[in-house]
Amino acid sequence: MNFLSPWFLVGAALIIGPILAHLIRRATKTRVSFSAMRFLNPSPPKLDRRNRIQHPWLLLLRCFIVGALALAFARPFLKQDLPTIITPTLPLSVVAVLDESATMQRTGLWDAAKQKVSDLADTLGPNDQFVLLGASTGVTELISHDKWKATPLQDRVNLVRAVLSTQQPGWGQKNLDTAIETGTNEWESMKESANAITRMKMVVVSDFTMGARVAGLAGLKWPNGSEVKMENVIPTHEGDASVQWLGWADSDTGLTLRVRVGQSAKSTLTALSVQLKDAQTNAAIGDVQKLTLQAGDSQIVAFPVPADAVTKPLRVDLSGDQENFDNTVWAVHPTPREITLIYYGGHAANDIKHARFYLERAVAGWKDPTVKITAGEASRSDAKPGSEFFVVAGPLDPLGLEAVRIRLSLGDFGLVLLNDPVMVDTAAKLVQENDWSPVKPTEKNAMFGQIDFQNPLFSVFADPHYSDFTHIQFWQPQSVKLPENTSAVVAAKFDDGSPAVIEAPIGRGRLIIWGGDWSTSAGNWVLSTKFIPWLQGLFERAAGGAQRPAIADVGDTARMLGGQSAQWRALADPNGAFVETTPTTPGVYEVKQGDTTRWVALQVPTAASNITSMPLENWEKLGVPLHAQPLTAAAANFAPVGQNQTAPVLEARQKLWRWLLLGAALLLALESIYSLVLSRRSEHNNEAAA
Amino acid sequence: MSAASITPAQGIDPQALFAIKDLELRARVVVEGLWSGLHRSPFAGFSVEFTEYRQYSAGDDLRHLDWKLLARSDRSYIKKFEEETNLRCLILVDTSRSMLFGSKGWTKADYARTLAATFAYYLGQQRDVVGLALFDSVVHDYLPPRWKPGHFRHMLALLERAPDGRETRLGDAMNQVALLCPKRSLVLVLSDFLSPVSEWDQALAHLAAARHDVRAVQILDPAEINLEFGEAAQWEDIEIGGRIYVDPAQARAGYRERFDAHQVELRAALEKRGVTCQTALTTQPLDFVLLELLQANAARRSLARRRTQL
Repeated sequence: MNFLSPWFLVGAALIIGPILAHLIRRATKTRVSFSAMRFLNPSPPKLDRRNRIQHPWLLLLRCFIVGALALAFARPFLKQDLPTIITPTLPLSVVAVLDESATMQRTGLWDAAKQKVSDLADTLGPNDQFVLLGASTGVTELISHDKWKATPLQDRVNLVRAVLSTQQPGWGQKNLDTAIETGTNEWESMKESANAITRMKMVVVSDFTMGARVAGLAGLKWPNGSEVKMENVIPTHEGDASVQWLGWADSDTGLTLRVRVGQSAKSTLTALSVQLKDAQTNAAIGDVQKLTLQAGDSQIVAFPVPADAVTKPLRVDLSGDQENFDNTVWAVHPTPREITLIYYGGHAANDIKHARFYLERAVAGWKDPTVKITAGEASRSDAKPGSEFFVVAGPLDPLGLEAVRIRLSLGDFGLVLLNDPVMVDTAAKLVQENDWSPVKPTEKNAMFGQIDFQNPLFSVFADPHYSDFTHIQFWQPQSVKLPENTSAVVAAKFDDGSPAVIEAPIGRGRLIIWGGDWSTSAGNWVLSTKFIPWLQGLFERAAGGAQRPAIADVGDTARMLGGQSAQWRALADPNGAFVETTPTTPGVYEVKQGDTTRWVALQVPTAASNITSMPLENWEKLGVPLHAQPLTAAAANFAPVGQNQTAPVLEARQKLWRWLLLGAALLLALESIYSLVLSRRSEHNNEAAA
Repeated sequence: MSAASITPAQGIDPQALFAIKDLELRARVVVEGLWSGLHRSPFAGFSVEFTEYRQYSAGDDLRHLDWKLLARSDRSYIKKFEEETNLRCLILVDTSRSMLFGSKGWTKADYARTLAATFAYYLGQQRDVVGLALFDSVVHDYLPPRWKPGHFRHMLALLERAPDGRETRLGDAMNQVALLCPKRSLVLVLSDFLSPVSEWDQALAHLAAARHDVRAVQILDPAEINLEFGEAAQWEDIEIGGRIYVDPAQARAGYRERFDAHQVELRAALEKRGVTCQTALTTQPLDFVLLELLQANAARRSLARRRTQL
């Protein structure tokens, strides 16, 4: 027998304790409680010399308990029971993950990475299976399992080299967790395909920077016997300076473009310069800004943008760095959407008794959409749909009514204020429905009794913090009785149940009908804090929804496109055709969605500039099996070939300490019972003696 | 307060007394028994609380004006309360663990509680104001001296509460009492006084210096005096839990010697501070102890009067 921690055997010397205890015989073990103990001195215990050891069986039990505990702590194991491990005669299921993210653009990395994959392919045997995955923002299957199997044995290595020769590193994010998880799924499919037990191995070839996303690996269930090998590739230059997009700053002095220039921890070149340029012509805008940054430092640089350059695509170039992949930032200032509010009603802009006065003040200063109010003008026939908003606060003549209706049907929004019973007829004609009849709510001071917060008109107030409309009152509002088959939807009702806010579709546009006027003589709605958010929400809808960002990371264009299909054209190719393929290279692009075309900029992901190496412990903390795990039950039918394991492994397998602890526990139970019996017997004898 | 010089012929057997579970009933039995055995009323010489009316004169506090009388008879009278009472007494009862010892079927704590209840009942019958402070390491329950309906019941409720059982710190408790009860009072301390004298001597001096009339009743179990108790065994300190092996036959002589020395030191310390002390064994009839207390008080008063005359 051998021991993993033999020094614990010294604990067996504690056996002397029970022996001494059994040598000393006390007259009695009964306890007496007494109050005046401070006047008492201890009496010397008596030694019974006639019978040196009391209760020898009890002593034996106690000695065994101490001995068993000492043995258990020494962690024994048997040499003759040496098991063997499964040898690498099993076929391999290999998944190679090749990092194709932006950081692999660094000098020397890509060739080294391709070489590692190529070397791996050379080591594969005829029964081994192989899958090659490319990892970036998403996962690309470069060589599928089926393709590998279909390729003749002698051509498999060439297949890998041919695929690698066509590959280039991309500009996306380093989402290694997604790629590795996909790799584990590939193992499963390979296992099903092979219909046999294989050893699962994954080789991740990357520069393993801290900017890599690996959090998704936490909690990932790894198959039994799997192994992940991290193949690190080293760049030619360890240092890197980067320029990162921060945002636009709008102030009284004009528009400013802000970027952060940062140095990596191992940078050696400290003299850097950044320059704002016109992205179309590459002409410099303003002066070169020179910086001196030590390793690990960063600095924010603000470029004032001249008014004539605001609408142009811009770029900021960093020079003085050896690695160029993250030395350019592309920028496009979002063009504010313009809406012309056409007000029908003949009211003056400073007439406090009518809605125009409040509309003028509510829309002043909006950045997006910007609203320009005109009164009673005829609509421009060439205006784009969504660029006009009609507010009808007075009766329309038939021509005006038709003009508004046509614009609404093309996609514009409109609002009719029922400030007079005759306005009900105007609204009905716009909606082209009959049987709309004016009604007056029963209460003179009406309130909103029911609001549909699912409706886009009120969804902005859906949070319980903002859904209290009880302080808003309407004085003698006007309502309408709708026919049963109406296409209009009631978004809010007065407290007597009559419609207060109605939304009706007209072609591609929408008409909102408001029960009452917008003035202080008609209620306190225009003075409430909910008026402007409600109005802005309505105008945003009219302009085509919330403003979409004009700048995004490569591979992260979902928000930019708002879930709609788009066509792209690069700035560098102004006469080229729009293509549906989403670009994967940083730069400025023209995006066409429907009838709208706008400039957008795609950036190198910010995380790509974080090139600090990720320590191997991070992977271990995430539970990634960096060392081969022994194959257990599943591989038991394979004949073991002798190869001794180390003592800790043997001990861990045999776990003799468990049996020893169990034995000690049983002995302890036996000792307790025996002590109890002896104690009772002693009490009985004492009573008999008394 | 005065007491009769005649003693009851036979006291109430403590064993029979402690068979009564209700503390109030025990107190009543002792006090009623004492009265029936006396030939002279212990009330002699006591004045009772009284009130008086007097006509309002300018400058009197309007709070004392009898408004009902004014409404009834249109006369302004002041209703004056005679605040003076016969005696103001605070009973300090030791509830530490050492008081939980008893070799006769009842503990010293039982005895002290009954004695406290008896004394409080006796004084209450005379309309004296009685307070109660229960202490172990600190004063954990305090009822200020008062005379009002229900006060005695409240005291009994406190006395019947099971003690927490901590160690005795008589000195700290006395210091606290000195702060809690600034008015001059009769302070009756019921304890076994087994803790070292040096621990509470200074505090007792403060208490006595605050013009309190301090009386000590040392409650002891007979076994604590002669150690005629127990067997050779592991003896455990009931208060702090320390354990030693003691053979009482061997330890008796030494114990008595040290115990007697402590008693001498205790008496000397109490006498030095002008505190009368009486030892009450838990086998002693309670009415005897009560009577002894009253007589000691009478003797003390007559001594004080004589000193004044001289």
